[in-house]
Amino acid sequence: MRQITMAEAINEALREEMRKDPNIFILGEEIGLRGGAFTCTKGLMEEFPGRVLDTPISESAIAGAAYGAALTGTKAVAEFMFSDFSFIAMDQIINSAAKSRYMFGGQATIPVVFRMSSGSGRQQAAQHSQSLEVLYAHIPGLKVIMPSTPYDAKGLLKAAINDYNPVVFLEPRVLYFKKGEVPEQEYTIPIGKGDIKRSGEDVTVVATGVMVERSLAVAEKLAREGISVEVIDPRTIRPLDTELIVASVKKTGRLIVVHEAPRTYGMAGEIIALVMEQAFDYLNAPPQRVAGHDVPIPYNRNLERLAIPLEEDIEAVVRKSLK
Amino acid sequence: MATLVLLPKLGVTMEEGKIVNWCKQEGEEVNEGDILFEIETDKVTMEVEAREAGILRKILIAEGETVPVTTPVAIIGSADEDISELLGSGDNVQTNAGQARGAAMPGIEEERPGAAPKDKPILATPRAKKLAREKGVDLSKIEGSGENGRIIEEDVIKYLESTSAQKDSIPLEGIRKIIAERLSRSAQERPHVYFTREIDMATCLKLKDELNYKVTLTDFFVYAVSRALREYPAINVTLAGDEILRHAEVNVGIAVDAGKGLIVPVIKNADKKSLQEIAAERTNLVQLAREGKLIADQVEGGTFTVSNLGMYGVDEFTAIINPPESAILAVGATKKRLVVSEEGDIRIRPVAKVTLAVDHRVIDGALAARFLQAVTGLLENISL
Amino acid sequence: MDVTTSLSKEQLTKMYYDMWIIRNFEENLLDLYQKNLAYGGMHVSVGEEAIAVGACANLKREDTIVTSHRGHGHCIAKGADLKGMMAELLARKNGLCKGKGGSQHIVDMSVGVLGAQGIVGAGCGIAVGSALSFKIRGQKNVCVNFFGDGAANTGSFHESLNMAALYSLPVVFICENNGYAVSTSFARSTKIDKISVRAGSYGMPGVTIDGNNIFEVYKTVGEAVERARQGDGPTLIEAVTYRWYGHYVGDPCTYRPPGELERWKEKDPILFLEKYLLANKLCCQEEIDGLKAAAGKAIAEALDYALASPEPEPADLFTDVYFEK
Repeated sequence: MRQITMAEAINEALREEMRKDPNIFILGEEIGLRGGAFTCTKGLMEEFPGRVLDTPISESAIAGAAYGAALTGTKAVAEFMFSDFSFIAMDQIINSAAKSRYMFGGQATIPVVFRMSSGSGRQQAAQHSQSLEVLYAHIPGLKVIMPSTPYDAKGLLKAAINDYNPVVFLEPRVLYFKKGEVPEQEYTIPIGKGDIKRSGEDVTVVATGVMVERSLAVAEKLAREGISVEVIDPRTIRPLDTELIVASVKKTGRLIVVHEAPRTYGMAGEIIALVMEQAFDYLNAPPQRVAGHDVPIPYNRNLERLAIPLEEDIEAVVRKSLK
Repeated sequence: MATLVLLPKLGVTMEEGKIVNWCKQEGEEVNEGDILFEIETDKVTMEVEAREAGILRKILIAEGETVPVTTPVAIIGSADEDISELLGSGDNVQTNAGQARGAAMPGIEEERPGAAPKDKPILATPRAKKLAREKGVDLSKIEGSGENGRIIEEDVIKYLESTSAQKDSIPLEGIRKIIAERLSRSAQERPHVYFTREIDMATCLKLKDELNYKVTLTDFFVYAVSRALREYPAINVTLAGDEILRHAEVNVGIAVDAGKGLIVPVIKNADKKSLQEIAAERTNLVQLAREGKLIADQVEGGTFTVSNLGMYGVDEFTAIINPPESAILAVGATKKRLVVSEEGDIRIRPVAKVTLAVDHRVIDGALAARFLQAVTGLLENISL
Repeated sequence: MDVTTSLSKEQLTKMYYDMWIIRNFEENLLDLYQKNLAYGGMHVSVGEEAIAVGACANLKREDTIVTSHRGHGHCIAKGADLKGMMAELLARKNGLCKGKGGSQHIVDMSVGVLGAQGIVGAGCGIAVGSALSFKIRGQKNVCVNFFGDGAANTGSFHESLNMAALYSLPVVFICENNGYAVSTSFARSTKIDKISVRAGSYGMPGVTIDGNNIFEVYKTVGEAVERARQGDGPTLIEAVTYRWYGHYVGDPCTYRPPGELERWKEKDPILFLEKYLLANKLCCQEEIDGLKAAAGKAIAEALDYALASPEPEPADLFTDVYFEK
């Protein structure tokens, strides 16, 4: 199968959907003439004149306009160059987009996608490196997606564009230019369905974003010692594929959740609580968290590297759970 | 003067015994010859009589406990005698000066192996607890291999596997344990070879009806086998190291289902006993076996075993040789079968199928076959 | 004001009637609030009726409005279902938002009421989105955004007006400057005298008008709507007015200087139009009384409907969080 980057996969998803539906437009900073800070929208302005809007640096208006357009029947995809910038737009994303179907008693459908690059790894320090998936996942009314491969990014973005709910789509920045298999033919991936990236029997590792490939590397290493690790990527943070995770833990009896975002009040806590509620009797070791430290992301490359889980951190906790 | 009652050694091989029942309670009067307690050894359960009269002042070993022979198990003395000196005499005994008369001794209780200390919580994962709950496993009996000694599922599985033979929580001990050990050792050590043939039982059955005393087919087999063994002493042997010991006596064991396990009481010098004597002795031994009252002497010294499962309708079966013997005869049911006579006539005859198993290290096939032929001849042409 | 001559008697009496509907609606709410039949955050627009009615008189059904926490009047003027609105304010199952939105989230998508917004300033961005939607679809429709003087100081206002001007979007921003943001007077929150002067800095026309003069509102908004409809971009209109009952129902209004309310009551926008209708012999007193009575009856019917409507059921708590196919 052909190999393309996640940025190319995102570009294809947008292009394919915009070709099919003239009712879709995209807006954001640097997305038109420049083709996106990370090339995700390259060539789209030329192909879809009037439907690709370079905006001023106005995150609040970007989100408000995307929501307002979606509320009136146009499918909008807004891009935030860095998820950190979406803080400025949070009023529209959360107070408007997330809540309006409910507070309007079901009168609204909001087909809007808020795309944003996410996470650390490029020495861009605290205001350009944060992982915000749980901030958004905490909000009823939003769907939150975080792909870890080009294949998942494409299939899920296409599903997100055609979903009539507001979707926050987090793209791990360091994965933009990593290649992965993506078929030529069209496909979508249902929102809310996790993926078993590697089957195993001894321990379940739930990982998102960049942590998926790190967990897979650990699984590969431990397999040589006869330790069988199951790696699950929920892909959708909300709604979470609880069923998949619970079934896996019922099989393995051990759960480790790995994410880049800080540990405290993180996704791991939520997933572990769900497993406690639904599979307590199946646990054969205390569930563990492997998560980013509770610090803003630092500039220094070595410190930045240490701020989020490394393969050895994941490995150590997997081993500990098997003791 | 007060005396210690010791656990008696009731056979050459007996090293320990389990007190299964105290027939007297503390404070109760005991006469010489009274049954004091019952013990179970690796072979049998037997009663132990009091050798002196007095009051059973103290039971030192509780029911269910297994202790080495000669361990003090009780104190008999007069009612108001000071027994504190005796209380301190046994290795396993601790004294408790302030102990009220007749109360249990906590010192001994605490030393019981396997009992979990009450104040320490058992660490176990929910998965391990769930499995233990489902399988009825007491987690206090399991050593945890997880972090901080936490019991994990694998520990419970291992425990279950190790105790799969005792699903009803019956420890593998006593008779069952010795059967298991003996038979597995026999099957492993002795290359068994089997010889099956049919025996016409018509004469035996006719005789059985004519006799004025009660006799079973087993008795006929013991009778015939014992005579054949006298004729073929090379069958009546034990392999001991580099030597093949030919036994002077012909002692035929009878496999008996004693309810809680197989037991093989022995009819000593069977070759010298009449059918009637054999029948009488067999009746008595089976009765004792079922009541668990065989004494050590009654189950030792066998040189050959007869195992008859004919009464259960089994046509034929093979048996494992009962060590240290070298041969065993497995007897199936006597049933009416079509038999072609030497003359070529087809007749209906009562026939038993028997299978002789021999230890091929010490008994050759031809010898075994001739022995079996002799047994057959004795039975088909029996005359007392 | 020549605009008066361009309006027919039917249009004028409709405006008069609509303003009475709004006032009756709001004043009934004050009563219902005291009876605890309506509750929560409640902001009424008595005294500001001319802006809602004058502006919306220029709009088609397919045009849209985005309003603020003080939005009952705008929704009524745009044609939102009165009964559904009243039921919503009484938190009933038959309310426009099934009793889950309330005063600050009134919506009626069927007539282009895109929803009231409880967050001050948020509506500006949403209006840009609605206008963008019209533009992308090639529809000749307009979005009118109502907000207060408080919203004019939010970042959203600035970002949205810049973006609307940049893309020449069909949107009319109407700032109802009623003198107070909650209890903070306009002078204490804003250095400039007129919000409309900000329009120039975004590259759009801006004007300040008397919000209690319905003719002025009608004419100014009409021009802005037409400009937007023709693709010439947005306009910022500052309509100066006054809210009679303070920020929220129960506001003691201690921040008001004595006599201020009384002076504004003399500039009652309804009375202004009534005088005009009588003075110009467009209506006789009986007709005026008849219009008032009809408005009162319409509100009474809406109230009857709302009071007869059931409470939401517990299961309704969980519906409408997500759209599900």
